[in-house]
Amino acid sequence: MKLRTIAWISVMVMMASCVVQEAFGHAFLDKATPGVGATVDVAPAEVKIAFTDDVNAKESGIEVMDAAGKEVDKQDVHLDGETKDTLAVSVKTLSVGTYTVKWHAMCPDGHKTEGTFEFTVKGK
Amino acid sequence: MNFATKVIALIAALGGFVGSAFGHGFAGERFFPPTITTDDPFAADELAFPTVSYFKNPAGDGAPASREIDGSFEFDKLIVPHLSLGVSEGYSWIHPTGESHQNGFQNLSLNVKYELLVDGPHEFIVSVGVEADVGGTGSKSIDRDSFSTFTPTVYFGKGFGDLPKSLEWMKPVAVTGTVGQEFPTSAGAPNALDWGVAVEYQISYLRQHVAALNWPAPFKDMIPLVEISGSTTENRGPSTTTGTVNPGVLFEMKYFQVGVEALIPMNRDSGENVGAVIQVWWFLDDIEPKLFGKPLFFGE
Repeated sequence: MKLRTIAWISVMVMMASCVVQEAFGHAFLDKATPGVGATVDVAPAEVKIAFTDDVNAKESGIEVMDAAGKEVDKQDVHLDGETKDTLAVSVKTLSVGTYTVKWHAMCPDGHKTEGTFEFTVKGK
Repeated sequence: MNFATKVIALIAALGGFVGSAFGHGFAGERFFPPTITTDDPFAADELAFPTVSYFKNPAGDGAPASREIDGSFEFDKLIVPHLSLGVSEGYSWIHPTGESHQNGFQNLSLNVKYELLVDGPHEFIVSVGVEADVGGTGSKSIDRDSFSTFTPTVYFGKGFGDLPKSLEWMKPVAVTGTVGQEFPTSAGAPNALDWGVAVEYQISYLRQHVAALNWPAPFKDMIPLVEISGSTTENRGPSTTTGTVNPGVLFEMKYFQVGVEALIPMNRDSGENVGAVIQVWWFLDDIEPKLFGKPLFFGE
């Protein structure tokens, strides 16, 4: 097989890959606010996670902990607005420091996923 | 309850000790993708179709060098929690230098795999299984073995998400591997140790756990990796090791995964020319969740 043939096969695979925009059939974190690993100047009032698939809000959750492991969210996890793929949870007034977000999600078809990330409130 | 039912019930009960990892291969927050030349450690509902490889065989034992194209599939089905059965079959087109080409079916291959331990917090899994290459089921035209070979195999996987924060950029690294002992049923064929390892850097893990990346699809979920797989003969002749080093990349999609790797011979016994392999894995539990992603028996 010539190098050119291999290159063509690679190009075709890449093109086929681009057709599919969504990453997983399971609900994985697609985007978070504050962002994964982000440092923010202003403490957020809520933590929001957009998933790669719809989630069952009753079977999904978000917990936000401070550096000491104390839960600082208000335990009011809910779907964000009219969306079916974005969860949000309100948080208490956050002081300067690093916070850990733990989430778990269940898709309508029952697939379960989980994850963890951190963000830091720097303060102005 | 007959004996077979008791065995199935026992295996299902043991499944309770290893956590939940049906369907896709998860250990805690880590998704382990199926890799091309190193069998992944998970018992899951999956279909690999097609796998197409191209490489050059070196001359040896009086046979000329040849170009070979292999096409194959593998289907795995979860039978009871954490135990799967798999079947794979392939077809080969071989073009010896200066001779007419030969083609035909490879021997049928069967496997059983059981997840022994899944440690979610440490993203670790160990499985055991047996692979059977059924002799005489392939085509004589491509000189397939007339005898069967049984290969008890240990599979493992480890993600490094439990590294300290100072090494967080290494957290996306995951390693899977296999070690299997070949036992051919022919007295003339050598025993051999089969081994393989896959080292991955998972971009999806990076952006979900360490740092947000605004990369476009499919790059935001690609997994660059290097696989090394080989076989070392142990008796009935001088010990030789053959195998390939396979750098490549996997692209994770909603319903399938596409993988492309180069096949680089690791030594002169393994050949002198670089080949290539491309594979599509279908995640059956996402395509049809009512049918797949759960055991046939003793499911949740």
